[in-house]
Amino acid sequence: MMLYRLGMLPWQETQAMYHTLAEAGQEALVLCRPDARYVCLGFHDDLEQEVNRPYCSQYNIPLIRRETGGGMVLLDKDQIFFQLILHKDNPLLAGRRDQFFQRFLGPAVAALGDFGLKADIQQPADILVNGRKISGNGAGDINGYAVYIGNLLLGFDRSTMANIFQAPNPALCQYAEKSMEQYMTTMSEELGYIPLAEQVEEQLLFHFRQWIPDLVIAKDYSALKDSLAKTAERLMSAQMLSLPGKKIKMRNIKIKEDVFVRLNRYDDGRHRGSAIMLIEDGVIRYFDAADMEILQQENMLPLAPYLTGASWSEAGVRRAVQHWREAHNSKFSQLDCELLIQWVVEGITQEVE
Amino acid sequence: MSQYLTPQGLYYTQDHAWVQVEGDKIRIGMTDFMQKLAGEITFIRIPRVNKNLAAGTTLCSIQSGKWAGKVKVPMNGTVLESNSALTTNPKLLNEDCYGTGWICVLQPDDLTAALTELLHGDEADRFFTEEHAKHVKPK
Repeated sequence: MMLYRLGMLPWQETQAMYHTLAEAGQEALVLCRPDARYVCLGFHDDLEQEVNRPYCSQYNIPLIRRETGGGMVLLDKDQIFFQLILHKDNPLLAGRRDQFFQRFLGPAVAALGDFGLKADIQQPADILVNGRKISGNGAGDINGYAVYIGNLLLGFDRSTMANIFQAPNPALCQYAEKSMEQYMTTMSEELGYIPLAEQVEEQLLFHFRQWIPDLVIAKDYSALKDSLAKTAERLMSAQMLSLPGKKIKMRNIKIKEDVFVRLNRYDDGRHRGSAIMLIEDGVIRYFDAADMEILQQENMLPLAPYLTGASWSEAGVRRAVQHWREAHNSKFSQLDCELLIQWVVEGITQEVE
Repeated sequence: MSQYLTPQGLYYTQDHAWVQVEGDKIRIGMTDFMQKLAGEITFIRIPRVNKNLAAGTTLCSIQSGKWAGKVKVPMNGTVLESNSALTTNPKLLNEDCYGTGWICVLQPDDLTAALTELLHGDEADRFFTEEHAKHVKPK
């Protein structure tokens, strides 16, 4: 299997490379990092739903779509990419596609360990250090090849990432940034210094070699340059970027596995508003309905303390809302509790479409 | 990988699409083997009706966890119908891949010739036995 240790590349080549190798029918391990920041859409992300395009235009942040899964991400030179391209019949791939992440991420976990960082995998595909995400990953089928891609965060610009999220309410972006502070980390934050990218790559490669000993160093990739340019052009084309994606009725931003921030919209025909929620492992950790006038009336107790810590399920939310309502002695009957429960659980009220 | 279903009477491609002949048309779906390999499918990008498709190009793509998989077009033809139920309920691909989880109906350009390129009967059984052996447990 070929090894392409490429260092810093023109940013678009960091995505084009593994597509090109799979399309050329070549198994390989690629280590690289981009020379500039860019936004990369997952294969099934909806561009308009996910990306604040005016912001990207204003700050000259280019867009590209990959043919692998996972969500929209901001990628930049402070991230080291590792990409494995295997033929679908390669015996290394035995088992379910999502279960292979456990093996694919092993070298990255070990490399972090070499820097004194105890890392764990949160299934299916997150690497955590001290419970916080330090790596983003995805996989896909390209030309009969299974392609697994991952990165290690040396640093991460959460503020720019938050601004890139398309959101109907700026408060959602602010809270997403705060949540990324809480649930994501980087090697430099954990170590207290910025590690050399080359050193991190070296350790990654060492551990990949333990697993895949027959890596043959590719001395030159210039023969691929024309193909890379064509692939990059295709991945950045309007046709590719505008592919139909997964539509969701409420804005939902995944921070890490089992942690997401969402914007719930309320409309009962008379009152409108929204709430920002943070759900962690099926539990409501944060609830802010600042623009819900119906919940801001005089003498009305805030709903948030009742919902915070409740299970994010119909039963859990029902209990919390009932306790809240009981505290008011049913004073606020104009508020339909069933609608309120539906809103918190499903993210929308029936009237909103 | 657990056991999987491969109904007799269907035709199969090597990338795990099934084909059911319905007169001069074909109905296409993904095999039980593929849905098990993928795990829980959360999204499918279905083919557009009236689109002309070439054999070997992408018929549809699926998402399961962080995996983006593809089903390829088994033969040249035109999409007559797509299963729009899958867009709101992609779990049908896991729950009933040979029934309500069908993907599309295609009008083939040359059905007779194209069928000779697909796996069928004993040949299909042999193929799936080999596929299962590759994935039965991690090495």
